[in-house]
Amino acid sequence: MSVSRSRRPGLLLQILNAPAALLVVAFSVVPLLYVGYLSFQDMRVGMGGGFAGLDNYRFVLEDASVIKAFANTLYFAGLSVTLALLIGLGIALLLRSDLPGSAWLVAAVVLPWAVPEIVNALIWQWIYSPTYGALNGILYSLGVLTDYASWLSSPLSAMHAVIVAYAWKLVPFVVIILYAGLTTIPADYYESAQIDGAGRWAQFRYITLPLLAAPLGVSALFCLVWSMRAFDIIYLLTRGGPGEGTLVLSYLVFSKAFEFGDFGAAAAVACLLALVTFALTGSYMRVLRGTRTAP
Amino acid sequence: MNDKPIDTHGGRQLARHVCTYLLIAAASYLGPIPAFAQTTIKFIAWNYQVETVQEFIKQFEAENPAIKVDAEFIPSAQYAAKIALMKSANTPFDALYVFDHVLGSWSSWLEPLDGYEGAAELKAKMLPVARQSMTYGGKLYGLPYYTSYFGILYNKKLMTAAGIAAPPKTYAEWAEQARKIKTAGLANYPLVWPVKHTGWGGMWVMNTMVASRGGKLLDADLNVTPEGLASLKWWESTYREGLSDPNGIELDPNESARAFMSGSYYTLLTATFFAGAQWANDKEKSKVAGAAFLAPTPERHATVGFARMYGINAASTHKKEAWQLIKFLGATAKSGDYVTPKQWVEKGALTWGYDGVEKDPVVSASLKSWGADPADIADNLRNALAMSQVVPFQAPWYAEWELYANGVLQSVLAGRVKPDDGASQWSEKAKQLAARYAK
Repeated sequence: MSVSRSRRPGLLLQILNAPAALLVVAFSVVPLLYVGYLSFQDMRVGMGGGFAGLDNYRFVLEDASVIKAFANTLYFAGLSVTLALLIGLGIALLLRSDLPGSAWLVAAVVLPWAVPEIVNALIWQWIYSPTYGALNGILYSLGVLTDYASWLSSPLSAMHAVIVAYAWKLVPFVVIILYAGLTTIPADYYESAQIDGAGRWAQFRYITLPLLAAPLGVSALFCLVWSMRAFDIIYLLTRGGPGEGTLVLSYLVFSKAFEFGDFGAAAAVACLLALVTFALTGSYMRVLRGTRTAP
Repeated sequence: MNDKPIDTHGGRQLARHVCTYLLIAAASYLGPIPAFAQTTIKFIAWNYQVETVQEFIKQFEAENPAIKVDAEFIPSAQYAAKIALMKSANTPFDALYVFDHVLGSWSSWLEPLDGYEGAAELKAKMLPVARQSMTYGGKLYGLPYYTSYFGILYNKKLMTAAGIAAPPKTYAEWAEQARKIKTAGLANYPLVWPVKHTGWGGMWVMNTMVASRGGKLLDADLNVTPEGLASLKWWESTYREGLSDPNGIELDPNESARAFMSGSYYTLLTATFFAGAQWANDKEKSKVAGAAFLAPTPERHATVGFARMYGINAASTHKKEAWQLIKFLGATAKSGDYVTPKQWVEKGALTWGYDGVEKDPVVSASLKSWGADPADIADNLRNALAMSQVVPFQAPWYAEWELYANGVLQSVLAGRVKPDDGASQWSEKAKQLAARYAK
């Protein structure tokens, strides 16, 4: 009797979950397996066909563009996540400090989150324009620039320009998660610390930061996964250029598959990207488990 | 009691009337009944002057009432990717625009046109550059949407102000003239180029420079030739010396043409249509309108041309109708006249793919309105080399190589890579891709 009682809710839950699970399998697992299958096939539009063994992997690993895209992806993801976390943490702390007008600040912070990625990219395209861009206008009027600069003309400035644009899109997510995390820290901790003579930095270092480790980890994890597969911002702002200055793996996959019709090589790059992302997130989660200190 | 027999005939008549009314009502609900069977064909194009293309389609439908054209327009930057996606998803379509630089990889699913009625006659009348650009493996895959060649677009106002008598005839003279203009304070950077790494741009200009020196960019072993290296070194030196605008490195062909239209530059080596009344000689949009002229390339004056074309999907179930459409758009109407190609010159500054079109008075007047001599344009189109005579343009790996090569070119021009190293990178990549596609 007791066994059947304990089974019934489980079975019901499984039945209720089944449609969602089926959708996940249909739209995530099956495509993933299919991409894996493609990576071992000779799939070039109008050419080839059949099993290719490791040829696609050999080809992409010998391709200097793939190596460059790999390095760019890590740099892009690393810096945009770091930037988003730092800015997001700063804003979340500001919001928690109950400054006047913080309600407006919440609205302003959430705004980029509501903007579709494609619109975000277009906004930054206008901001960086070498002829009428807002960034040039502001810097020129402040006397920082003596002439309008072309921000997307050199690999270094183009890479940092797209990182800033992408981080801007990530910040609201970080703020929301960290702000929620900050509200769960009991005020007593800070009061006790103040009584013990701890200054603001010490409170931040020994109370806020350790207790925010979990939300910080979650934010970093999500931002990292998103950054690893960032495409829209690159496609609209630089298309991987100048040279291969902003060429990232997700754009390379698109380019190989849909511009050059080499689906096998594109699938091989996509699989490598997925492997790297799994490895990074896996090791990060392991670190996260070890540092979880929330009460 | 009524002994009259039942009027079954009247009853049937009533039933017939009711049925007729019901049918009419159903038909009016569904839409007008065509007077004859109509075939609808799907036509895919990129988005240059959409209204003009729609006007041409209306003209075609008026001449061929049995055919209706369902046109879909795709932004040109996404065109090749979208078509590849449509093909891999087996999306049905009948006719389409085709870039000549993807013909090598698209030829596997494009319909060869040689066997179609009138194709042989049209092929015979085509300009060599059009015929070569649209032929792959000995088969014709397209009719010309337009052809163009590369020339020097120059600003005569700046030239005259600097006391220069004529546009440059050698590369050394070109640099010398730019120096003169810069020294006179007439322009910060006298030279601007289309060098953005996507779309055609830098490498097509490079191919033109190599052709003008009488060479090829890559030899049979896919090594960069001396003409190729000399062109790259000369081009890089103009950036190093401050004669070429460094901010122009991220300009695509359209953007560089607009930059030239600002009046701040002396020359732009580009496709000829940018001199047209819709571009540099547009009185409303261009500050150099009336002063923008075309000059031949330096040295041997050889130049390269290219052709965009109309093709047919081999999987189409309406190939006959698709042929009628592309023949109207890419060649002649039923009258035998080049109706659409002639209109493109006037409406879009796009030049033709057949011999003798320049003799039409409307075409001739249109060319003169953008500062061009119709006979010169016709001669240059007739003598332009097909891109495949300078680079392995029709190799299935070319498009991928070109994107990479454009990136290397940008790095060389920006001073991040030495010309010799850039040439080595071009060669290495070409060999790697050729090996992959040789399998």
